[in-house]
Amino acid sequence: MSQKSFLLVDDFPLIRTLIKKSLEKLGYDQYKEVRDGVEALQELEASISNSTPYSMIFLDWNMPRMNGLELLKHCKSHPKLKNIPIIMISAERDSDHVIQAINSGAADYIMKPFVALELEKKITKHLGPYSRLKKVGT
Amino acid sequence: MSALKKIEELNFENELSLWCEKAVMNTFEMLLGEKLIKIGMSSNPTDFKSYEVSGIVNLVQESYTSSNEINFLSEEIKGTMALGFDRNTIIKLMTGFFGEPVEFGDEKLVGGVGEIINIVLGLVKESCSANGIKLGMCLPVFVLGHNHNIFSSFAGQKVLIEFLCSKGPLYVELISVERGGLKR
Repeated sequence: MSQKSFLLVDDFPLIRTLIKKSLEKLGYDQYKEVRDGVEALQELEASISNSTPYSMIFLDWNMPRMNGLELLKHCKSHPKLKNIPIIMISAERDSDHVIQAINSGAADYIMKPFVALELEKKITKHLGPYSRLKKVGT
Repeated sequence: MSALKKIEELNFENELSLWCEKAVMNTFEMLLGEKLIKIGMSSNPTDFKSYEVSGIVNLVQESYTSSNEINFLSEEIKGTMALGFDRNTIIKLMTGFFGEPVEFGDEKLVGGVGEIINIVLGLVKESCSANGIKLGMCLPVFVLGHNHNIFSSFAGQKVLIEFLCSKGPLYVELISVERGGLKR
């Protein structure tokens, strides 16, 4: 299994589960789930303290307490978080939201509902086909 | 539901009903792998159902009003969309999706309904936008309880759409503030 780790930020367990299924299908098993931007921020600060940075963040837009866009902007202005690819996932489907996310530093944008294959392509696009190659070689 | 009218016989927000129907079908197929079959559609009050789990969200229209040189964004509730289930159907759907037993009223079940209605609203919003209607996103609310009905104090007209999935029936209710509530 790859040691890449993922932070799944969404207030609904259904989408977090969809992401987990895709990660596991690709061979990734290191992930942490949180329900909003505030919990995500705490987890990211802990990852910095522990020197265990996340490889990728999946980030919902509309969440209570701190929304995804606020967290995205925070990460992109933080020297130790700015290089983590962040995939925004949202039920907002208009181009204004996509542009705002990309301009704020999101690596990609996925509209809900999505099929697992779409998510898997985005993961591979940004992280490479690491786990698949490793599996073939073992 | 043999007493139900065909879509062509309905004149209430015909476009909105069709966009909603398409949105629900797409969401269930892409999110849950469930192909829905549309069983019927009605605006007859006697056809409306009672539910044990429902997700409800307002349809809020955004518009700009001008005062001298300043534009104000205003929002107005134009209707309500609800997704209703019986207990068995939603438990089977969520248990199938999560791959583990889901209890009535737990976070996975309630959150699942919330996410579904949220995504349906996103798709309806997209269809509205393509037709010159600007809707905003709203936080959904959930109702759990034996045989509850969906009412609205501002109800103009109502449409019920019934679907069948592999786990049982599910229903969509659309309630408008008044006929033609959504303006381009």
